[in-house]
Amino acid sequence: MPAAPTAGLGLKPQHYAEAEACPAVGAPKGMEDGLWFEVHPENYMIDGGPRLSWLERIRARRPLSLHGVGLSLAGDERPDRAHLARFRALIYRFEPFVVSEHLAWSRRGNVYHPDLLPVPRSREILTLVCDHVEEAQAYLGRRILIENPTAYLPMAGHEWDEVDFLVEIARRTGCGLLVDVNNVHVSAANMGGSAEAWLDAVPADLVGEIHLAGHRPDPVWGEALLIDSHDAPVAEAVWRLYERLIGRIGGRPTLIERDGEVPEFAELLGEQARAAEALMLVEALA
Amino acid sequence: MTAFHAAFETALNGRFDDLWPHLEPNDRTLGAIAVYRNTAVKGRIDALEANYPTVSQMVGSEWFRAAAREFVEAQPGDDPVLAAYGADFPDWLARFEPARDMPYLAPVARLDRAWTEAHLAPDAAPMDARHAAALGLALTGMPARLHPSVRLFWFDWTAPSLWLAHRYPRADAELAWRAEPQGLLIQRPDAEVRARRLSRAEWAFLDACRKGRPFGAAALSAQSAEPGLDVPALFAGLIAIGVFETPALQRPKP
Repeated sequence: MPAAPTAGLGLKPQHYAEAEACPAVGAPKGMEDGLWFEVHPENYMIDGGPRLSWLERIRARRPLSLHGVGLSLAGDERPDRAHLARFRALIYRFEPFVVSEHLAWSRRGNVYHPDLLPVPRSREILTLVCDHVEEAQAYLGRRILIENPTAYLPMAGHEWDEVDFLVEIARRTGCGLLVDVNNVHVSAANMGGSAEAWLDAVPADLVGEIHLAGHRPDPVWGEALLIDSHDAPVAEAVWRLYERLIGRIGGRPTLIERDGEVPEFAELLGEQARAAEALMLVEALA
Repeated sequence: MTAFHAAFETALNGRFDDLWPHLEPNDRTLGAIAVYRNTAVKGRIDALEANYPTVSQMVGSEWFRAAAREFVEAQPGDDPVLAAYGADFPDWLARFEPARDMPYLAPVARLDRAWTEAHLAPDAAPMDARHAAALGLALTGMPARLHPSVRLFWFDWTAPSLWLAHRYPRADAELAWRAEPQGLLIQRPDAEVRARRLSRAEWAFLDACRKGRPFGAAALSAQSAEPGLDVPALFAGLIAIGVFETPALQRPKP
């Protein structure tokens, strides 16, 4: 039996062989035990072939999380049934320890936008999102976690703070929260809020997973507009926020996300080990 | 349907007027909208380039991404499963004016697409020589079933050798584009997608199989494509590379 999941990595196809062979490479002794992997289910909604068999082999050795990007829970249309059916088939096949999605939308009519699009935190949107989360949980047959979005655009029509809005969704639907610390940092930088206050306000009992990723300044606007680019190492400021969060709420399965400029597996394991160490420290102090 | 979603989608398409009342604009608002527009367009172009690597290699990434920008605007796609995005790209490329002086591009795109389809196709156990031997003469009357990953092509020009030279490079690869009939088989009998040229007789045999004709009739097609052909040898060769699916009902007991 694999150890309980501590720090995990987003699984990239170029790292399949190393991910399967792990803990043979990279991580300091003792750090690799709680290693787990996360994938976007959309990359595995296919009929057959090597991608699925790789995932099966890796899943046989490690806990797996499915992190959806295509359910469009904050959209103004009900979740797509065919998409939910494919999602459920993957849940049955791979038995993930956690399933998550986003407070965002990506589908409208016959168009899928490969992005996580924003919504105002209004009464109207709250009702929509809660209906969709309930429908998804009922169809998938389990509780899901919802991730806080990255904010770029100052919007009129917010009736809730972001944390209050997420808590309200969780309270009404029974879902949990996935706290993306990098998103909190980037949103606070872009919108002018306090990342510390955000993280201090999120209720510990709702948090089921934590994401850490890198960001970079917009090529035009520089530091005035940070982009959640997932193409760089986790920033020091984000590590400090992470330590603050787990210092308060305790350890949670924590994911290092890297989707662009993907480095060697060993380099990602270095970041994974740093998160694992922080989790061990929190455990030791508890 | 909400006014916000409609206005945001309009803004993604480059018209911002409807979105404005939903915002508290500052000096970076247009920059922020651009982040969303760029992410969505880049996501589609990245997916298209990943699915058509040979086309990108032949024209260069810069040309490819400029053309892809026009394609993704015309056909943004309706499915979050981006591994299968861009099925219509070969047809679109065939009509794309700036590609007119590159007549090999659309056929090469078709072969890239076939590679992707083979890669994502359902798993199935190919029929091996032992299965075929166990079925013996009964096989001649049985409708052939190709492995679900098999994709077959016959071109009047050298698209197969040109594509192979890029996708499966070898020292003796031929880069010429000329009128010469060539067949190609793309398949994934196990974990790996493979591709190889087909003789006229192999093409005739497999084309008959694709149409669901019995193995005996496929053998006759191969024979008439190449009189004097050693059909059992051709059949054994095709079995060895795993192009057939095991006939489901007659599978011998292990």
